[in-house]
Amino acid sequence: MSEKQLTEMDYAEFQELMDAYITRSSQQDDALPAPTFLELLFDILSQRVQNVIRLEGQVINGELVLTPTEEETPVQVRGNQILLGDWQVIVTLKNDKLQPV
Amino acid sequence: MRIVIPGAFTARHQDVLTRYLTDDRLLSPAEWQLLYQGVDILDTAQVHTDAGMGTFRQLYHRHIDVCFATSYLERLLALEDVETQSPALMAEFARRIAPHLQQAGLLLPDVPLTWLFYIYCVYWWQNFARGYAFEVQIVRDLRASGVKLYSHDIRDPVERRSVADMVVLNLTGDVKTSTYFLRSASSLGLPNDFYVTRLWTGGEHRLLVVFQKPTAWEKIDGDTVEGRLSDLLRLLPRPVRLQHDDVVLVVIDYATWKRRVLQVQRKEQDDE
Repeated sequence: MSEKQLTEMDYAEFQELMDAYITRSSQQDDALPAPTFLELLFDILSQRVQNVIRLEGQVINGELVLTPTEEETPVQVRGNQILLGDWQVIVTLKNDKLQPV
Repeated sequence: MRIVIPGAFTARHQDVLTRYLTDDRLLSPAEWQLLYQGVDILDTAQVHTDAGMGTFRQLYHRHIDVCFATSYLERLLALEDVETQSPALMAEFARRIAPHLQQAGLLLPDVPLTWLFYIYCVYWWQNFARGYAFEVQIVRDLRASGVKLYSHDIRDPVERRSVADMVVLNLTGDVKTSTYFLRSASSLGLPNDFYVTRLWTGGEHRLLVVFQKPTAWEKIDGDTVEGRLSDLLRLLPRPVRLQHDDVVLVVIDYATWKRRVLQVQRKEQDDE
């Protein structure tokens, strides 16, 4: 049964597969082999680091206005708001005004 | 009922998912990546019924998380020995999922695409259940060892979703099983200062380790040895500085980390 694909199973075989999975996964933790985990973790983090989106900020009439430096970006920018998937990032200036350095 | 699986979910994803359910110890790193990718794609699969449309993720939340999570966590927290008693509790709750979905009309023997939703639910439930069992074990162990920490209340559905599970030495930390750690790293990066996790080193051996940002380790000790990913197991329990491209993390075994944290906390207490 273990070599069968889901599409080749009948419901009784599928139930058997799931019952065995529940038994096994309840008794074992999900610790990955150390080399596998390290490879995946650093690959994921490296890929994130490569995905850089650059925005420029200007204060116009006291309001922060962000603009992408490239024409096409995977994020939407509206004024001081950045929309990324389900996330909305709102950037405001501390104390609501620019401070002299 | 109509189920729409995104086209990005291919036969290869389904194949690796079946192999994972059968025996996950046989998966290669590339297959693990494929598995995580496939499950992520299923987040947006749609179930259309007379009552409306819901994605797998939304329906999981409505039918599994809302119905089972808090009662599972209360039972988990009532266990005296989480390590030995939690497997039976996890299995008990996981076996409630099929009848619950059948009653809701979301698992139908003659509609194999509903099986995929059931797999999705059991996959995330087991990861949820194991993740919190691990977190409770670690928090109890730290407290029993005398480490001072603030931890979130996992019975509170809002607090449970906080990015950090605990604060130690003003450092935010998370206790994550492998799957949750990688999913979190993929979607959020590593927003916390440290992460306690568990690695499999062959046979029955598990290794508890702490992944930290270099700045977090500097606050505790700072001393490291340079290592490569392939050297880590050989270099532990020493604190190992791993760099891959621009990513730098310090990894140390959990017992050593705990001991160093205790030393810093005791010194702070003596200085007061």
